[in-house]
Amino acid sequence: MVTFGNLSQFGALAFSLLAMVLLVTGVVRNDLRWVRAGKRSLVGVAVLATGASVALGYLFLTDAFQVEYVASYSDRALPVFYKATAFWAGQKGSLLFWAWVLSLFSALVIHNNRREPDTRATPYVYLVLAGTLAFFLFLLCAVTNPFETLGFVPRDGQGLNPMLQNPGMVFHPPTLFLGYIGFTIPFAYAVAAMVTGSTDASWIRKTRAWNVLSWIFLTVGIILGGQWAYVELGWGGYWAWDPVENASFIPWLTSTAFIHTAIIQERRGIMKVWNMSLILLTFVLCIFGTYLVRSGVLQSVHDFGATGLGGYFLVFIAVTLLGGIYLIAESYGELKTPGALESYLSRESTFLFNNVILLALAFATFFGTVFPLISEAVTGNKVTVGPPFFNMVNTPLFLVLLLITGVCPLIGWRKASPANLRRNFLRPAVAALVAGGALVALGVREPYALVAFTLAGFVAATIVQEFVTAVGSRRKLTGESSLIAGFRVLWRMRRRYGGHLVHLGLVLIVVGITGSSAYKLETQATLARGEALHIGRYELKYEDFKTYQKFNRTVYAAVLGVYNGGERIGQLDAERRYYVNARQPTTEVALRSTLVEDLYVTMPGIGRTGEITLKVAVNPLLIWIWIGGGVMVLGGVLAIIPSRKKRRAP
Amino acid sequence: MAVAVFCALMLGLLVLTAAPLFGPREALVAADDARRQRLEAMEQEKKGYLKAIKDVEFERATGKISEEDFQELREFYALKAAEAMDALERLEQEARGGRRRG
Repeated sequence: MVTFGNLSQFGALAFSLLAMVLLVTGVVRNDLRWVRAGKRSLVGVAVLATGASVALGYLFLTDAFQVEYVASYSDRALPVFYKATAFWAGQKGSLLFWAWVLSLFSALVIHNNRREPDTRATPYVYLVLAGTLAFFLFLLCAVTNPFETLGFVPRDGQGLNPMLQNPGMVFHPPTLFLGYIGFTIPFAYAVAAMVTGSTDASWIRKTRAWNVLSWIFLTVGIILGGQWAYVELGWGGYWAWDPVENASFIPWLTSTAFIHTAIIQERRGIMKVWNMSLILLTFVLCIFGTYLVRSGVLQSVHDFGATGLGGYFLVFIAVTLLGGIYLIAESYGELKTPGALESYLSRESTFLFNNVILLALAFATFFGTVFPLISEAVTGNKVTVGPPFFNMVNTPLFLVLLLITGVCPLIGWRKASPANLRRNFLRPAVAALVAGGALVALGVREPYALVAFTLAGFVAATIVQEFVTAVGSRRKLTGESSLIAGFRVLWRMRRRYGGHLVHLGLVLIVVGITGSSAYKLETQATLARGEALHIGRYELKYEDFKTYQKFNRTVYAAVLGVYNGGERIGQLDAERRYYVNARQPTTEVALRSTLVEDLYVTMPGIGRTGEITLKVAVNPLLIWIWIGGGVMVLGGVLAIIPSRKKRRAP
Repeated sequence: MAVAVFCALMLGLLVLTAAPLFGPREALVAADDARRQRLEAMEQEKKGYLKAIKDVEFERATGKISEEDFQELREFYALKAAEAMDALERLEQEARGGRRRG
């Protein structure tokens, strides 16, 4: 299987290069036959990359420790579930996963377009896909081969990092990668549009589902990553502005900006240069994200160590970026649109303003992330900027973004009159002021929290107003009941209301972030059996201690009774786990999560005489971050459900 | 064994890849294709303007734009949609003429 996997990987590289040659020949000779052969060659890449991936999966499942990658990330005691997902636990498997998924996506694009006649743009779309595939397959074959053998068979593998043995980590990397990889498709179409001069909105329409789907995957990946950090790392938070977290967040910001302005190009035919620039930026940032996590150039919880991959990634990024800029400059005459915005009081303007803020956030996050590299180049020392920098710069920008999220749906396209603005803003503004006043009355004094909650109330009110008004209008027109009219408004205008649902998800996330960061309670104590500690309205009593064996680990668990006002309301087991083959024990979080707050407990120490050290936190409203993430994804899915095609009469 | 399976797979894929090269030659951009592309783009443009009319009607119904702005925008989009329909008709006539001449 090692030989088969290795050969398949080399075969996939050969077929991706062959695809490029065939496609270029098709363009040069103006011959469709070569283009078709090139497409088939890309399907060949998908078949061979699947062969290589199946081989690697098989090697993990059969404990083939003669393979260096398998020996590094698995061992005999590892549960089968984690053995299968150890595939992408390290750098080599992750890159194979990238190439495999991109090859499948390319084959899917070919399949979806099978009834469409090939146009002048076709070879360029597939050329970009084949080129990207060739890059990743080259890395796998020449630089970081997952099928490399040790030359001997160790008795056991080194095992999977215990922190990665968590369901969140099973789904977080692949979803993030699916997002990164998915943006290759719209980028390929954008390049083809520029090369062939077809710069109307048709490339945006064709790739809309890919854009939103990739954005959904990126969102899921980021949310799952936050969840994993929260329940696994044990420091009590979910986002640390870690370079790799940032690397996924930056393309999320630019792709969010792109999704908004793509709507304007679809509707008004303007902002073509902007959209081309955004999709180029998003694709490059997706590659940069992969580079950051795989190069070991910055310190991160995801760090796989310096590997020598960096140079290759930098060359690929530079070529893509410079090539993209050149194409945009070359097609500037066709991309430039006269007319632009008619009024600053229009939905287009709010979209543009939201883009400016999203890009400012992306730039600030990018700058903070690469600052260690900049400082090293200038001063010779790596200076890291921590969460305070990111929080200080990004929090005000997020608040402005939240305000725009509320303002945008209230303003009509092209231009809005002051009278309309007054009418549409009145209720949400009153709702926001009432919410703000109520919060002050309840004792909320933290300025950022007060502003954030008030703005969240404003945005929520605009969404509710928008929906209620639409339902009212529909009822007036059709005489339907509120329920039926509500459902039909939601379903028939699902692109619009999918977007609103995403905004509602954002509101919930803001509520969760604000509550959990502004009003967090923390304490630490060492307890003997029978003793208790108090935090907020809770009392935690150390009642028992258990030791047991489970799968590939020995678990030491302190049984804690949770009391509120003297009444026992639950039990938490704070654990220390000793995994086979792991040098360090890990701390497992005990969590009691409600809609109001999370009770978060870790046990950093166990004394020789049976006493335990506990770190306890109460994180208000934190669960709303995960709920908000779910709502965002739901909104995204709603927005891309295709409408049933109307059949034309023969 | 692995090498044999791989060689068989490669051979099969190469045959499949090369198969279109033995078919009749077709130019990459046939005139029909270019016309079809223009037709498609114009059709999309028309749909876009008709959708825009629906949207401004919705925005008037939900009170986001004034009656005056609604009339102005509706007229603008209707004019644009009519222009797109004219262009579509011209392209279709050209296509029919081209086919008759062909």
